[in-house]
Amino acid sequence: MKRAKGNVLTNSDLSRYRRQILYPSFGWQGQEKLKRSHVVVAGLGGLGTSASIYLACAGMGHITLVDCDRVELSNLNRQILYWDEDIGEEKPFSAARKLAKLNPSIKISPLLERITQGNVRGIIMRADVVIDGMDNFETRFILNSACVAERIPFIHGGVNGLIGEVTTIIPGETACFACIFPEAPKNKGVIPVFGMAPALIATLQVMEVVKLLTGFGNLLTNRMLYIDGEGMEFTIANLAKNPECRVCGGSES
Amino acid sequence: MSIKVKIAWHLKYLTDGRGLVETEGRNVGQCLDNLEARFPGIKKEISVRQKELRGLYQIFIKSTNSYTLKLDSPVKKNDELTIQFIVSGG
Repeated sequence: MKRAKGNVLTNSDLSRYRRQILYPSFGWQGQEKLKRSHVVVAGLGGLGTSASIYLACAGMGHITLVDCDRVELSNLNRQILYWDEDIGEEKPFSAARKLAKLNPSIKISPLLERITQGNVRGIIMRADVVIDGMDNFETRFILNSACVAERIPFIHGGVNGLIGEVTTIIPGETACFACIFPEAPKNKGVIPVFGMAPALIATLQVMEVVKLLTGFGNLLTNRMLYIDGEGMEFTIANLAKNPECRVCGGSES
Repeated sequence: MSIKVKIAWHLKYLTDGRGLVETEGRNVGQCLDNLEARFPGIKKEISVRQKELRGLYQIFIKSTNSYTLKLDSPVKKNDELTIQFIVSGG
């Protein structure tokens, strides 16, 4: 296969990604960085499936897809990598099969596992970034602690109904997830979600990943972007490290 | 002292649909007490217990997060409180 530019991108790559390579702050150097990068998508629900599609389209060199569930009918209003024919299939493998067709030039690693304290470091160890696609605080706390320990950026997203939130956590630099949320909320029962909410938040998460990995633009660091789709209001809250944080202790190094 | 409060969408049913209301107080707890007097049920909804907030909402002062926020946290003139729903779905 012919190589071009920095000897990382093929001519096929240059054609596939032409429209983003044209972006001045990104260029072929940015595309090369993406091709060398590894993103872990933790959770393959509404957030994770939407994020995975845009990561694959953007040319992320290696995507690890982690989930422990099988596809259910009630997933299909928002988890857009799964179709009616996939019901009962293991999510990581169903998602990987579609993404491989979407972009055969990238590496996709499906992982059928529940993320726990015991396996989390092994799952995220070689990642450049972790995307939060979880649907519960307990696993987010596990991921956050591991990301802080391994100094891996963690792009948090969350949704409920038509509202959502996103922030970029960089260990040692920003407030971590446990600074922002010292404890889990007392949610009860099944959470309502329209598909548009996780799709919107997930694309913002991927936007953060692309900028973070290639070094341009402003990140949502120490800021939480809130989206209210019903009122159509987008607001930002400033976040600060908690000096008494049980995970990062507000540390700077 | 008048303090503006941004109301989370989920709570607007308690504030006659208003997203921005005014209350009074010298600390967060007093502001919530006065808010409760105008809009009964709001304190229960955001799970105010004793000196802490526990539950489904966070309160920001001047759009800044509130890891140390207690109900006796002081507020000043022109401060704005935001009651923000905590989302956990994915």
